[in-house]
Amino acid sequence: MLISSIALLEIWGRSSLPLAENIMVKRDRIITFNPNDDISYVIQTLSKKNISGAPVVDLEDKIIGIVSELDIIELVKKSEIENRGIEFIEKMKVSEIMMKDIITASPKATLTDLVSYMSKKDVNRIPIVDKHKKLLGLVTRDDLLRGIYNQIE
Amino acid sequence: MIIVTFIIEVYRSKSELTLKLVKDLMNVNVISFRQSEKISKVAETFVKLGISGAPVIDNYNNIVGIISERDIIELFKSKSSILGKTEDLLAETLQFFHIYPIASLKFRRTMKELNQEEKLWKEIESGKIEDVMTAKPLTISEDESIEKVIELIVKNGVNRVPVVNKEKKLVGIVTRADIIDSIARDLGEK
Repeated sequence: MLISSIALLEIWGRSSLPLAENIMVKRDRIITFNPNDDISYVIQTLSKKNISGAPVVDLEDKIIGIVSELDIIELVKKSEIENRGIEFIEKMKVSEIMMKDIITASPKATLTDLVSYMSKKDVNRIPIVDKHKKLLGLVTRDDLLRGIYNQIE
Repeated sequence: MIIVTFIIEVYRSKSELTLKLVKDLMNVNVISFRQSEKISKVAETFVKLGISGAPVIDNYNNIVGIISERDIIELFKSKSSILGKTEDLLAETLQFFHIYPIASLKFRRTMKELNQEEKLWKEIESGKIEDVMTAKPLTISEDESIEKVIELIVKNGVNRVPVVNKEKKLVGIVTRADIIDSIARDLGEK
């Protein structure tokens, strides 16, 4: 038993699988929105910054939702069905269309954990938060692919 | 006259976007792959060019499938499921024997697992596109309206739709980002 636990200890820390904190984009480089931002501002920002979505945070930087390209495209579809113009979209706020039921992970989550969350919930990005839900980072599908690619390279 | 006024009203009520055609919006410089190519090459291209999916074509520019980063991640997930299971089992066993009484101390890999992990990376590295791609994906004609693409994206939850000409050959691709960019331009012009 002693020998086997020593053998195990030697292997401890040799895992090649990265953790969320190793592959995430850190807080200072993440674009976020406030619940009161206009949808037109979101559209302009997503387009300008070439991103497909972003976390929505409150004044304490705690995560309260995610807004994505698909939320906006769905809104366009809705405005078409209701035969309303682009003005309808412009007047709306982030809090009206953001996804509130979101999945988050801790910075110590492994690549495998993140892959399984992303696949199960079919989301494009997972906010990495501390125990008070304060935003620490963001892992997107691109970041996961880069994590996998770095292993096979 | 009433009819003309009506048509003008309908025209005004719609955003500029939905009146455009697919060919006005699509990317013509589309990256594509052949189905016999390796998954590792796709992963490399995606990471380096910052794209998240691409059509798979045959020698005659016919679309035979589509591959996205999701497919590669799913492959990783299916191959790596055994790793996660062993990890949990090991942590439980250690806790049972009180070897590491601190619950947060979690063992990552045994020797056997390290070997399995190596095998996993090799399998992913040598896999072929045809093993993971979505065959016969949705496509759209270049003469369709943007409205139709929006409908396809919303209904099917896809991120991109390959665009074909009358001969059904690949001529471009429309992504969610292209639609967002177009709306952003409409908003900016106002």
